[in-house]
Amino acid sequence: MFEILSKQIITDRVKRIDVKAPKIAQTAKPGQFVLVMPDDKTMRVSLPIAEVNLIKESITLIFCEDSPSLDRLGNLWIGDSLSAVIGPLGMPEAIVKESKVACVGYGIGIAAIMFLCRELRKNDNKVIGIIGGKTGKDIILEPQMRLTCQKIFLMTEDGTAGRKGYVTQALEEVVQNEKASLVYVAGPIEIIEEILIVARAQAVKTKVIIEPLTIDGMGICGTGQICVDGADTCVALDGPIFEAEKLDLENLRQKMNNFTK
Amino acid sequence: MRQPNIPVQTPAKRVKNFHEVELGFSKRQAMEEARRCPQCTNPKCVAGCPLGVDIPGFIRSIREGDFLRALQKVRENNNLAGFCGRLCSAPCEQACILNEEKNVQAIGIRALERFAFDHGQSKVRQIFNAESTNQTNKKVAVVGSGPAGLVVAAQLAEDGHAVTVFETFEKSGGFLNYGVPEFRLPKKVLDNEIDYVKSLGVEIKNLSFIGRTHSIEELFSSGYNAIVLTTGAGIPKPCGLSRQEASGVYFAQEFLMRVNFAGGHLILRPAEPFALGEKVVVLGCGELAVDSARVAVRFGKNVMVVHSSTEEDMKVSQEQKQQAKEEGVRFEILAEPVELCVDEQNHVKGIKCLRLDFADAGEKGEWKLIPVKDSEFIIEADTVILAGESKVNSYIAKLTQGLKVDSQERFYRKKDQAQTSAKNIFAAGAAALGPANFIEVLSDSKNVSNQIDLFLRRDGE
Repeated sequence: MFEILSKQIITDRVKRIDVKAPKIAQTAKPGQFVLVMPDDKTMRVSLPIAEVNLIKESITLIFCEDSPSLDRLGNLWIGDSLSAVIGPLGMPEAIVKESKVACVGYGIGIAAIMFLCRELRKNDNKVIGIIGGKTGKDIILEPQMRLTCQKIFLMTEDGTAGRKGYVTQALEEVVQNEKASLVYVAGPIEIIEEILIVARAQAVKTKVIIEPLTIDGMGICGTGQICVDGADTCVALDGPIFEAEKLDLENLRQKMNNFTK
Repeated sequence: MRQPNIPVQTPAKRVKNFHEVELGFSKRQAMEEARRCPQCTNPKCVAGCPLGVDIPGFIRSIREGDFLRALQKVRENNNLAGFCGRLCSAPCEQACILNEEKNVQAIGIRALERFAFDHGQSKVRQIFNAESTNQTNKKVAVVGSGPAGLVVAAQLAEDGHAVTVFETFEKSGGFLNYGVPEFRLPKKVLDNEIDYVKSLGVEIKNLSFIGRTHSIEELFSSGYNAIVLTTGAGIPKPCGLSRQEASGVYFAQEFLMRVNFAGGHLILRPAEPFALGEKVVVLGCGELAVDSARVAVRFGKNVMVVHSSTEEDMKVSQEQKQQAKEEGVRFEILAEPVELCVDEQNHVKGIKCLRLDFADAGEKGEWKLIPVKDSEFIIEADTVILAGESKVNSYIAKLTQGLKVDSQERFYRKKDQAQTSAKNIFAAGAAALGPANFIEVLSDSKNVSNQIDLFLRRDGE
């Protein structure tokens, strides 16, 4: 069970693996995530479902090796099996129909937005992808995103790939020229905040994909409790996608920073 | 009430390991202790036990040296003897008639129960193994494999129903697995008891999160006649202090979960991503607080438990408190935390507290704990563990039509009934009672399983 079918080393720290998980592959909906345990002595860690392959009955996970658990996961090879994959967890996102949607992914956040883009496209939306990173090396899933989105903006801060600039500039253009009515954003908290400033100025509805800071997926650990609409909410249960206006950004930034320290 | 003398690891030794603190009676000690039992004709201990275990009966078997029979006697009324012998608050010992005599200790019933489990367990499985279940052709799904779930599953399997337990984690045991430290309940005992429950014919499906991976409707459509919700009450409630989101502040649940999953390896592999400062302060007065403090002590930290009640009002047993003190946990009583202090990087650096004292506030002779004027003081801390109240894990109610919860988010049950507001769905243990102690959960689960058994049999006619 949970055998690694293929593995790709995207950069020296970012890896992509396809894991055989028939039940999860069949039932996963966009926005959902899985909890992964590389071996039974390592802490479980949450990862977004980047892609689903129904023929191979596998799910694709893309991760940056920035914690001991993910380090272990990155050291596994094709043919190895994960100790456990729990999922799909999280609230499935209700997909809109026949509208223009901009999806912003930054760095590893592109993995969190990929599956959502696919489903949006299936539901006759015009999907505009905005992907970015610090350098060209940070851009993952570029070919897949090009296939999925009708239009794509590739932004890097140093200009090594695509256009030189920030994802916020691209978003401004998209909202003004393409009249996108909904924006999804995934990435580090600093980027989310900048995107929200732009979105607010342009008065466009925005949804944020938050990394579920959970180790159990049921809200028992209390790690992923954030303030949404004035109430304490568990990201793992009611998220990970939330409407931007309802989020308490100050509280969110605190939480995210604690976790990465 | 004086405590029975049970051999324990010395404090100096036990703070360096995660092995069980109480070593349990040796054969000779157990038989000597059993011989002290007066074998009352109208035993008060049985009346005191919420499960109604035949206490004089099993003690008699120990006295006669038949430990297997002793365990069978316990199992007649209590399927989880191994847990009870370790985690029960032992109301039977408080009811023991020997307490009425001066300078005489009550019988160590809990320790004897544990002894019966430890020495009878190896033989017991061969006997129960052969029994086949599913004589009634009824299928029951139990959601959650914590203490309540295991009791309900074991009992219903014994009654002849086909029982499947759904558990989210890859290991069964629920709270017993992630919430109770290994020095109070060794994983080996947990595994033994789960094996015993499985040997009764119960199937445990791990990695199944009811509500996400399977829905309630899915369970009914796959042929289950009844669903029992035993999701427990483990969700932490925010403690209401400001700056709770500062770094260095954890919920006790997360802390215990991380330590329990990593097991004893954590001491050998300190690189795990859980920063624990030198000065750890635990806020709370329940078992969760004392357990967290005792775990932190085992990492060589300076630990203080801060709580606003008196020491007698703490919701932990006398021996646990005593053991914690011996291990070096300090208790700051009558101090009410009002604010978390943080530094520029938003890392916690201390807790502002108010000193409480008894005062006759309304001058009506009602003495209450109220804050002393200008008594603010700061306790330095670089890690704060919040071990306050918890609430029921009733998220499933949001996803299921007709399933109601009450004002405290417990599953709603009619008075003295096991059924929830939804048809064929039952609730047992802490999921219906709210946070409760171990023995209350077991006795409620036992009652509920009796009712479900009646329901299933009636339903079939």
